[in-house]
Amino acid sequence: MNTFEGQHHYEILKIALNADVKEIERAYREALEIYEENSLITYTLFSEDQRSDLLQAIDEAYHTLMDAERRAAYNQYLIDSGVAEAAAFQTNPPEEAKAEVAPAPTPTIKVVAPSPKHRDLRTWVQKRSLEEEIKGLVAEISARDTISGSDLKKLRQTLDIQLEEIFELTRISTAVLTAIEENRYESLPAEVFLKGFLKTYAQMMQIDPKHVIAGYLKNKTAATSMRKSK
Amino acid sequence: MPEILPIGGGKGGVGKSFVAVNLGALIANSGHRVVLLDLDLGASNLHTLLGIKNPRGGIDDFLSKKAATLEKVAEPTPIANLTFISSLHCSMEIANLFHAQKVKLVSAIKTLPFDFIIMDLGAGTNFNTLDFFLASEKGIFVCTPEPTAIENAFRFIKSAYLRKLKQIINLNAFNKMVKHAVLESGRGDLGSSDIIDIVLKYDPGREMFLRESISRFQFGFIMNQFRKNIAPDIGEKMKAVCNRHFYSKFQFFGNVAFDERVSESVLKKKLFALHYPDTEAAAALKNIAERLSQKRSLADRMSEVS
Ligand SMILES: Nc1ncnc2c1ncn2[C@@H]1O[C@H](COP(=O)(O)OP(=O)(O)O)[C@@H](O)[C@H]1O
Ligand SMILES: [Mg+2]
Repeated sequence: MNTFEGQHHYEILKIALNADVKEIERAYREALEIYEENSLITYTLFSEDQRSDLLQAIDEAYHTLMDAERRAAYNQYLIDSGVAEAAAFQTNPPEEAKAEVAPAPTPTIKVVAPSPKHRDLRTWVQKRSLEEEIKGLVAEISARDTISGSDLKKLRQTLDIQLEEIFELTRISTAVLTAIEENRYESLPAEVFLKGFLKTYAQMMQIDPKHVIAGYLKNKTAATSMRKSK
Repeated sequence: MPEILPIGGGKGGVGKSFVAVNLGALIANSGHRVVLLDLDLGASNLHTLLGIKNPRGGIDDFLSKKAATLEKVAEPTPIANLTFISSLHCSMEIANLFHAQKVKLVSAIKTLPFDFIIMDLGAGTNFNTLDFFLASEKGIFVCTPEPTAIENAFRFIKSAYLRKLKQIINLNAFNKMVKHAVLESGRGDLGSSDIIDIVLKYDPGREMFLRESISRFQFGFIMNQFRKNIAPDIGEKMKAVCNRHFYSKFQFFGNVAFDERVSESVLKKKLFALHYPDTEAAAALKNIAERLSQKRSLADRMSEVS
């Protein structure tokens, strides 16, 4: 059973990005009818906690989208994080206009990392990977024979990603992620699992997972044998 | 390959047997060979709905090895193309069926030489009932538009879904940590999202495989005993919400109206859908039967081509 994890406000209310106020209100009423506590449609389908999470998400979506100012800011953030294109928010975009905007407009201002809860991390990373700074860093790490947790941390921070976001998407606990980044090998899980985590983590940052696993393990082996010999 | 349609749903009295027998008759009426199995051991009553007073040995003969195959214990019904296998003479309740007996029965059911195999399941969510339901990738559940029936339907779906997830883990190459955590943890409260989390934690590479496997499983459902004062789109909405929150596919087959002539037809030993074809309820059942058998015809044509 999944909740609304990873869905943005429009997806939660199941409306188009250019929905007008009337549609938002209709969608909100409909969502309440389905998710409210005594709804026959979902009677006992969710636990109390799940239901209150769902209702809270619906409420937040509704109140954000009903407030013109907040909605504009939220739209901008969806645009910035590469989830949607500006044209999609226009009311009834004329066909020609659509065609004109089609090539994604490159942001003029430096993109600010939007609040973790809402952006689509994969799209975000994909977009950022095109930047020279990121490309350079990935190339640098990829050229290395041994890879330290601090390399991964640096890449993550340059990508403007929080550990909590990675957890949201991958379900790898932030404790494990921190141990990986800080090279606290004694706190890491068994190697088979570590490999799986590294793979997921690397994939998420769009850096070759095989190389990351090999490099990280090599660094780990070297470090642990050093510690032992001391 | 026969099309296997288990009919379940948790709550007693919602109309599982009524739906099973009427769909069976309607599909048989359109020329397909259909067998109806009464799997409500301990509360068998399909024979009565079919107008059969003294059913043969049925499943009991098969399990006690009096009959060599399950096919041999099938008996004709008053309806052409419709065959019946009873469980009236089984001495045990469904929950007490031994594991080996269940396995034997499930594999025999899967190879019955018919176009359609319809299983009428009992109430509740005991493992044996769930395993009959999971014998097919397309289980159908019946509920009525009442809170208690919907509560039981969701409990049934969640139990079936959870059992399916466990089956997938058990039968596939998940690593030891996953198998241990899911199958031997002894945690009675393990939910399906817990299982997905366990796989993500211990065997993240196989999470997609798990999701794909569970998404192949389909639920269909019927809202029975529908009354005029209820919003007609509740079934569609339930379907949408289930599709949104489970990783399996849900289909809504429609509302079947409550009709006083249903019990009358039982007393008269007539099959409702055939005897009262002009009622709203019969039309809805016919619609569902057509939908189910059309898929079959399409599948047949596809397999002939390939
Ligand atoms: N659509 C309907 N309209 C009126 N009565 C119905 C309808 N469906 C079922 N019934 C009645 O409800 C009762 C329970 O049905 P049954 O099929 O035995 O339920 P189940 O197998 O789920 O326990 C029976 O008396 C049956 O005649
Ligand atoms: Mg019954």
